[in-house]
Amino acid sequence: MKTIAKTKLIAFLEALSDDYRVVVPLQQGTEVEMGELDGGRLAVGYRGKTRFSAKECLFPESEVMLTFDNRGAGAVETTEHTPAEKTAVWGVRPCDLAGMATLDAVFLSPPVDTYYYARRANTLLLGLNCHEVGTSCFCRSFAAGPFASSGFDMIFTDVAERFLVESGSEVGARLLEQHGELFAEAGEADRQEAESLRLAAETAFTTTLDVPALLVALQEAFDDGVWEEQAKKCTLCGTCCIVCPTCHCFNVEDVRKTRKLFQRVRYWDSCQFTGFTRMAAENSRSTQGERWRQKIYDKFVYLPAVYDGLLGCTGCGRCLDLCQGNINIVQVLEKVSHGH
Amino acid sequence: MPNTGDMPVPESPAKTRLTFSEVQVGAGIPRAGKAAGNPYLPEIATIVEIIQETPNIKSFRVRFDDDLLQAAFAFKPGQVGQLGVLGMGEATFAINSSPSERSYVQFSVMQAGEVTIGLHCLNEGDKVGVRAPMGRGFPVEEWKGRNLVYIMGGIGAAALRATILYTLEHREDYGSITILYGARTPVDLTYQYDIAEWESRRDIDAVITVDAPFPGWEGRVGMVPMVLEELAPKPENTIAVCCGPPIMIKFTLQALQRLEFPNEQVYTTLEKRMKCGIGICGRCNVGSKYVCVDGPVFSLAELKELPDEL
Repeated sequence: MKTIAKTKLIAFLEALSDDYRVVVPLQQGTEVEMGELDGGRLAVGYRGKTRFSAKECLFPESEVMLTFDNRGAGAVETTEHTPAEKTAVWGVRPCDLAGMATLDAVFLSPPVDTYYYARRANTLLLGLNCHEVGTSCFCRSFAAGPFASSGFDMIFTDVAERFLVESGSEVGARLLEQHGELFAEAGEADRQEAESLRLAAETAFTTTLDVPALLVALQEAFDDGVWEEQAKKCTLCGTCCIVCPTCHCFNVEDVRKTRKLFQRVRYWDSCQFTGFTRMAAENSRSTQGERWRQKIYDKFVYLPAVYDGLLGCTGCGRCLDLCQGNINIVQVLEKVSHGH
Repeated sequence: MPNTGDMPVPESPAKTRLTFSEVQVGAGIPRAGKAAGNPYLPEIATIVEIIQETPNIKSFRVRFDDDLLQAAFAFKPGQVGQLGVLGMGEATFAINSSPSERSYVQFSVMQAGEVTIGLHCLNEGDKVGVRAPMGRGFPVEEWKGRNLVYIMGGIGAAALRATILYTLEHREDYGSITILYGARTPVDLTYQYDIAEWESRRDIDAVITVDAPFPGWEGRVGMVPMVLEELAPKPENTIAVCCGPPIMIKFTLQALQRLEFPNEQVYTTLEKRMKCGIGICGRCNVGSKYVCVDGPVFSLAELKELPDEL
């Protein structure tokens, strides 16, 4: 275990930028957003979470997958746009690291999504434990936080003037060694301080979700009136899916660049949109209640059924913060679990 | 010589949870050719023949530009593929040529939305993108020794044609075979070239019906579910396979229930909006099953286990 002075963090990140595009939390007005290192003021000691999740680093909002060059006379040339850029992301919160574990399961189960795989293989994940819990955070209910136990190359813990640093992979360990001059050996006092921060953070949650009770209740709640009732408040904006660290639905469309040149593009989509499942003759989820129920069931019933118990929620709380219809999903789910 | 199944027939693998270090890129893609690495990469194919089946349905016979791929192309009857117009996108269609057909792959397309209109505008010689096969087909091996009743309405025949052709080519493996096919009018009956052959064969029963009397039509008149009840096939050792418009499927399943067919002996195929075709993009699921990976073929017994969101 090592430590690094907060004043030296920037030197470490700049050193990384020789080999990587470096993405960090940036202070944008009153919000903190992930962005490139030279894109603003680094939010070194930021509290809570970034407004959007860090999933964009592995699964961008939109990407060009293929280009077709129809040269006529029987020749179509296809180009694959497999991402090759190396990216280091510093300051990823445990809830987002847990979200990436869900994305891994979905995108890497055979047949492997080659775009996600390439990005995942080229991304260095430098996590940052939470020592201050936000009011909407409930990651503890999923054991996803406030401190991360896996899914990172390095993990940082904010202890006053310095960060306690541990590696979580071979690459992480190598980097610690390579930049040894910036790091100092951690002492017993540092360890104890981090441990007391963890215990304090774990008891600070004001939002909790009884996940085991919910999983039992959902087995019988498919026809519950609660879905249509809650959906009345939904504005169909899809924000909950955009900010979610595990939502991975996408649309694929062809874009015509010139008369002979076409690009196949994918971009984030949302199961909350009316047209998501619409076909020529019918729509299998035609009411907002059905779509709202799909979101909850996908995260708590369908994903775990397919991926060995893996849940599609990490308790980051962003959908509570940003819901345009002011729906408190945790309260709704607690109602489902413990009666109306 | 029909393909007797010596060719490996790849079906979509069930999803499993892997960690990053366990991943093998390209594993589990049930397709040959260079697309074996990238599941989104279509193989380029050329339209070799277009058949105007009905006023709004065309069949496209396509050949992969890669001759080796064309020669090695294998699928199980009932499997689907993504057929795409470069520049307009892809949509999902049943592969409806016979699995033994080596010279082309056939898809039938009803004009309904953007991609299908784009396809209808293409000519012989034009290029398309194909990602196939996908999903799981009908368990034709398990059906050996059983009687088969095919029940189809309108464009639904496209989903069953490959299976019918396959079982007719392996006629000795099956008991009696009945084909009940109906459409709104005689003009809406697809595969007239098959119908003529089916009606002339002595070793199968082909019943063709239209919904209402039509000038010049001397055949049977009546909706498919009603005709099915008149035919009254016995459920003993018999598999019923049905596909058609949702309303026809609904009443056919009710009729089969009255005829006392157990759910395990009734099969259908589901149609959902699809994009990725590999169980990721999130739109074709019914409960925890993805139609693109776990379907499109389901027995009624399997469907009864899923949430009522068909």
